[in-house]
Amino acid sequence: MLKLTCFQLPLYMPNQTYDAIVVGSGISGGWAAKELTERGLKVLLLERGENIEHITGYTDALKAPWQLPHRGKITNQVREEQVAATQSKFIHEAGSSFWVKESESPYVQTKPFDWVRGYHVGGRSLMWGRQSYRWSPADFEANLKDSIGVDWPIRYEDIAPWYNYVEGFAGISGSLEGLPQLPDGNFLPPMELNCVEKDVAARIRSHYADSRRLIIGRVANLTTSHNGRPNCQYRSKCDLGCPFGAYFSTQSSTLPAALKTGNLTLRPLSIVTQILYDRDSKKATGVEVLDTETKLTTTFNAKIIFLCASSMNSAWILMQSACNIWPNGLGSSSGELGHNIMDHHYRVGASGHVEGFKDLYLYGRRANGFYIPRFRNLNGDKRDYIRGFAYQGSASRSGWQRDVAELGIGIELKESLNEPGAWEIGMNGFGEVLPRHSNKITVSKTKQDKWGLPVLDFDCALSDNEMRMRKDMIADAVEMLEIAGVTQVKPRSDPYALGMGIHEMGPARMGRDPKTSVLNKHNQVWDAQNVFVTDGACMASSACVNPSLTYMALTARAADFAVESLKKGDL
Amino acid sequence: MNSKINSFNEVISRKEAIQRAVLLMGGMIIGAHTLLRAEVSAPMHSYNFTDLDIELLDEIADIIIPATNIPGAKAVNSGAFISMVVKDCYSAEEARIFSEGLNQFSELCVKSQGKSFLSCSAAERIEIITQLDKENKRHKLKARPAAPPHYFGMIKELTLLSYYTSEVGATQALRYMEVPGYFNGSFPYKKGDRAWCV
Repeated sequence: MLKLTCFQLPLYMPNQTYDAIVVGSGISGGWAAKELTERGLKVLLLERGENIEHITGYTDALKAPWQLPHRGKITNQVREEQVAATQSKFIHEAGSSFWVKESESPYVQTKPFDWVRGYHVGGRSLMWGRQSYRWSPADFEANLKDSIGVDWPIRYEDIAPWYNYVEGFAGISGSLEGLPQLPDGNFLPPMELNCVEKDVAARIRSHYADSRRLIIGRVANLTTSHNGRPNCQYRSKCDLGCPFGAYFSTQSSTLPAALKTGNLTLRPLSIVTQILYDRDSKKATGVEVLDTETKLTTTFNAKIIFLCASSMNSAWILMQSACNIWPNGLGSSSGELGHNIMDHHYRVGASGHVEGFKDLYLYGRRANGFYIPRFRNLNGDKRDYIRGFAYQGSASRSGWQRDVAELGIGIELKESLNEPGAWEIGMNGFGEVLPRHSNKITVSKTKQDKWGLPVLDFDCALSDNEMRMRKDMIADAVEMLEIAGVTQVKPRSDPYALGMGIHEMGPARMGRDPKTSVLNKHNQVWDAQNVFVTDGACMASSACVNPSLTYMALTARAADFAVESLKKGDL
Repeated sequence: MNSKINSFNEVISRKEAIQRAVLLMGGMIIGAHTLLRAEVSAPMHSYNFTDLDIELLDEIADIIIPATNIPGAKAVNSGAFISMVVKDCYSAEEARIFSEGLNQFSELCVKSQGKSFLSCSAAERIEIITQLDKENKRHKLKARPAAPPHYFGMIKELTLLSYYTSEVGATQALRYMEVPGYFNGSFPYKKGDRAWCV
């Protein structure tokens, strides 16, 4: 078995040289590849997993329920092999192969952490929730104001044009609301709230004098044809891959754009084991790659490297690199590499029954729900915690799965279940997690994956701030549903471990000072300025909105800076 | 790992259905059902079922969802599906409850009707299953949320799953639209209109 640590010399093979290397082909890596190739750079896009072809690779996408052997239920084998995905509840029978097996890629949990991954071309852009929100100006100022972590080195104004740019290409549908805490964007027409959601929205808006608002989710599903892609067909099977290409993924969007330039080389089955660093020039020269098919190690050289391997794996690569100079890896001189791990905490909220609306139903499966933007600790509101949360939810009529105890058995049961049940509504809070130095990942000294590579060890936990916030997340949900006339309102409070939000962030934070941060304001590693980290690793705080749109914008912005710097001869 | 609580299937399957719908909407969750941290390692087990077990499950399922103008559960091979799910998806503990439940069921039929279920008339079968359904309902009312389910609850739930996700159930008992094409959140409905399969 190959055993690779950063102290061992790689087996050198003939070098291959590109202008840029992008590590990882998910949301961030796809954007980096698109931007750099479109600006004329020859790019090598490295992906550790297998290729999944757009459309033909989505093998479960068009299966009817009866074509799945277990009708969607996950098997014991999946439970044993794909542990974090099982914990997160995101995995089901269809599309289960998209989720990483811990039996192949284990990790250590010094404290519980659900690390839910997708190792294949497209990464989690294939299975993501597609909710797409801008950070607000206040989000970028929050760390400074609260003296938490480090101040972001950028402000909303720095990223706003890039939000515009990535929204315009990706296609984000949403409504214009004029809310300072959730800036409007360059949107396609919004999806529709359903009849019950509209009613609840009106009651909430009226009761709280418009200080709280229930809006349609902003989602990377097309509501009109866009950039040659057709609109959403309302099948709601997005996480199996969309044969229509109607939601944003690497395969549907950035990869075709990058390939079109003729400047892209995509190399799947390529695990980057370290960045090669030149002490004299203080720059990276390339990467070392383990080919998972041939089990051979090779190197590729480039002028610039974009690390987009997903938050934790980008940090892992840095920690495995240049260890002869910095024992804890490239970018570790501040002592912050691998620290300040964040996610969004959730699984708290409320649900209930809605009387009436018996003459109305739904047509089509809307792959989106409603959204209640943050309202806590804003506009003079002050709680016993800092920051805030938002809700996502939906209303629908119950189906045949509803609790059938009262319906008995036989013809009566069958005839009842052949019709829809009453309306139900539920919502779930997503809360900000603070960056804390004590929440960290390290490279395990004992455990290795199936390729003999050392794995990550997670030592992260929630703090009192999040626990206090969770109480509000339940109480506010109950209150709003009751105010909206919902009956039998039940609070929801379920266990949550970090990682379960699948919004892991922070181990290579951006900052203003190389002594306290890993990356500068252009996502460059302070210690190797031709290395850019633009995935969730770079985040200095988490806000409470879904982060992927921000990774897209930061990646496009950093790619632009990198190309301009190359032109000027600065890199 | 912290509290790894064994989640029993009855909790899970309702959950899975909700989660499935919910996760596709960006991760929001409908329903305040207790979502427990599933056990990390659900041990494989060797519970298996005979042809006679499958025939028995078919007949029980057909009392729960009988044929009307639309075929019932036996016609969609519910028995074979149920036994497969118990084998492939149930934890060892769940499979034990299910398997022992089937034995209890046979004893119950002999005790109450003096013969096997398969020898019972339609009316006798309905009587047995009606009693069991009531017993399951009482069990659910008094059981703690994470308590093991009644075996009949398992059979009933898997019968409904097998039926309503079958081609007959999805397209005749319910309506199924693979590609709806658009969304209408205020779609007219009148009593008697069938529900959507998903």
